[in-house]
Amino acid sequence: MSGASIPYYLRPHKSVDRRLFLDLLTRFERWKPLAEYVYVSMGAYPLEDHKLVHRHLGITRLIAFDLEELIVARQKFNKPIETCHCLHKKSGELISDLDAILSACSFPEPEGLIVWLDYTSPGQLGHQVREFEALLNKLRAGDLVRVTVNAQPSALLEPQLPGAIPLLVTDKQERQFKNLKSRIGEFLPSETSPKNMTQEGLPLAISKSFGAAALKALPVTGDNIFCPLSIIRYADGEQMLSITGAIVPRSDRSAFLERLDVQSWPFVSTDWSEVHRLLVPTLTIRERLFLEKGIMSKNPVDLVAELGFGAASDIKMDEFLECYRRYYRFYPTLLSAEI
Amino acid sequence: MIGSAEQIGTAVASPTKEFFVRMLTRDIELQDALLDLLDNCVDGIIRSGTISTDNSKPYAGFKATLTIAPDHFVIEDNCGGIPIEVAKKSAFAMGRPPATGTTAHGATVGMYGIGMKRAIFKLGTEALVESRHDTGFVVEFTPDWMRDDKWDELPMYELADSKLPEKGTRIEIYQLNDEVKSSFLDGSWIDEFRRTVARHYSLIIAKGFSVSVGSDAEMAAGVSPIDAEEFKLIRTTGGTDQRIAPYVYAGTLGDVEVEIFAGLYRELLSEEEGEEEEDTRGASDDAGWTVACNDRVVIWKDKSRLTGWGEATVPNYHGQFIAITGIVLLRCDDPKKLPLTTTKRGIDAASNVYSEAKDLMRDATKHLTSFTNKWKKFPQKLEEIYKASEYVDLPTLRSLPAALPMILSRKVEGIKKYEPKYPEPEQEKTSLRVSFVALKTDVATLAKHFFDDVRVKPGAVGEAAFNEALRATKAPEK
Repeated sequence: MSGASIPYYLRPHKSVDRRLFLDLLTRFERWKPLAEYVYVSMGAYPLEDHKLVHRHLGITRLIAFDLEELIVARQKFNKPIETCHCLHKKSGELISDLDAILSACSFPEPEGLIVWLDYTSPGQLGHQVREFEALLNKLRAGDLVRVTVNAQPSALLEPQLPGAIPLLVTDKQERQFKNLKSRIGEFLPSETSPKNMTQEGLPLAISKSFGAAALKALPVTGDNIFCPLSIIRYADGEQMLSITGAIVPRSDRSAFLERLDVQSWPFVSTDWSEVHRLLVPTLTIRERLFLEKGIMSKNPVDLVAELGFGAASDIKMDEFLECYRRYYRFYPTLLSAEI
Repeated sequence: MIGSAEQIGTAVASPTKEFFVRMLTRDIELQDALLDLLDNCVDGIIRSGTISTDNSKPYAGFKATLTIAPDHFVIEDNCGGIPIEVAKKSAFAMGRPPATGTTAHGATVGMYGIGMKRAIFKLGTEALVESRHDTGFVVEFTPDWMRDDKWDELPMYELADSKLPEKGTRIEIYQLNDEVKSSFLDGSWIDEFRRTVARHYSLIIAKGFSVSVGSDAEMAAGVSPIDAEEFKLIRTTGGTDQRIAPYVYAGTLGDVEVEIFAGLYRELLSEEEGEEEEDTRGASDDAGWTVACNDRVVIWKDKSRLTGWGEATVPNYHGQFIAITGIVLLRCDDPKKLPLTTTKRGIDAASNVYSEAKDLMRDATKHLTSFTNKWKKFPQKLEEIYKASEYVDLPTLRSLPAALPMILSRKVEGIKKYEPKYPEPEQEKTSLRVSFVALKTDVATLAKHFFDDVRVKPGAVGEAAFNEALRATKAPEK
């Protein structure tokens, strides 16, 4: 299950990941203002991210797309502003017709582009990596790209028939590796082996594969480079991996990273091998307020002792607190309300 | 010719160094320049004449390590080193002097005598070449020598006794060129290079040669040697005369030994997968022809006219043929007779040997595309034909010509072949394929009607509707 149909308030990880993306965009503005950019993303039916970039960054040139006609109709109803165009397109079509689409939406020659390909289907990883490569071929320096893909090892396996003898871990990993290789073999890091088919190893292999695809699109002999900025794995159900980066002139890369002061940003990844893990348990309001007050001043051991419990939503509190320190500002507070 | 006219001077006609360096390095990619250095390592082993040919791992124990850093490059091997006399007379000359052109040393791939120099020029402007075969020596390329327009001889020095005790060569290059610096800075580039080595050195690594590539830190931490990309084909083990098995061609063309193996390496695509592949490529594509000369892979999984696709009666390659692959092994003690190019990527397509080999490759491709096309219409039965199938690796494939009932090729003299009969769908004679386009909403309506599930594949919905109509038509009227 991809999670596409699960309501957003039940996906706290995705919500925090999106807020981190927005925070990164805000930081990018130290390099270049984004208000005149065009924002392109699937958005699903609520167009949550379109609303956010509009409200926080003042972006008015918005494009949403989906391959389901019904979703597009619903997007049209939910769009935050009139200049948000909702298109019935597949991601592949959007990429191959990008220039024509921008011009048809009356956004010719935009200042820059932000494109988020929020993929859901694990079986399509091969298409997704190649679409990413194709997209980079269409963009110019200053553009930002974000992709989200499934990174759950078990999703690489055909479901076992009920009653079948369960597979040994090593057999499972062999099959997962074979399937992964058959999809993205030419991009996979040379050292990848069945042993890497774990919650931690698979996102790393996928991340480096996207790195290889970026290099194919922007070879070292070219003027531009795709510079990864943030690579995060999280699991609301199945594990996802989100990669955000920017195309910058090769000669400006260091100046760009310095201007963004990325090293002070907690989820920064300037290398394809730096994959951060995001942990977001569901907290009660009382727990959240308690933690927020103490998170920067007290050590995790004391906090856990004061809480009196060691795990929440199957997530260990000490692991969570280490992560929470870096993102607590974005912890979503969701209240049920009667309107 | 001039007659009795008096000479009044001379006109310079030698090449400028800058022109020479630029021309030499222009047509070679950085990766290929590095592979050239690796080729020298392997040729070193072969020239030393110490390896046995009846051993499946003749290169075991021999290794090359490539250390890649943004400001320097080092390759070191233990492959025998350069004899001091060869170093003095020819190893550092631009091109091999005519008198030393004989290659009575076995199946090497170097033949032009430019690999090492070209690689040094491609990488940087300062280099140190150390080698020990008999008397160890050091040769230095300085930035001044590189800039200077004169072709002064390079000074040689004696190598310290402690260096290269195993007999081998070490090349260090500094003052790297800009493209090289950007490449060596990029971890993804280095990994891409590792994949290239895994492909182009697959046969050599499989024979025991070890290649390690990494940064200083990775080398210190002990980076593991590169694993070879495998070549394997499917063979079914059923007892019937119709089976999936590799096509085999073997023999000699002139002085060149030829072995060709072709077949399937994976299942054929289902109709749905086939359509998807036509749209965007989603599967890693290992289809196509690989060609190796004296074990060095020069063409990797090619799907173009270069290897016979889209020529004569062979269709152009497209997604439907994703399962078809083949390998051509050419071997000769005189590398000049092989269709090698100077960059060792690609092939001399004008070569007579290759053109005859390509006739055989096209035969195999044609058989395999016909097989694919026949089954495309009957995908339901496809799974059955893979029952009891196994993978056959390259060493096993190479042992096949001795065991199979090979017959002489009428067309190409000197070649024997084995062309298996592949299974044919039985329904081909009795059945037809029905396919048509319908409105999505209508398909959904019928899917709901027949299966109470709108996610059922359109083909299944169409078949259910067809069967229903057929049943109603055939049912006796009451």
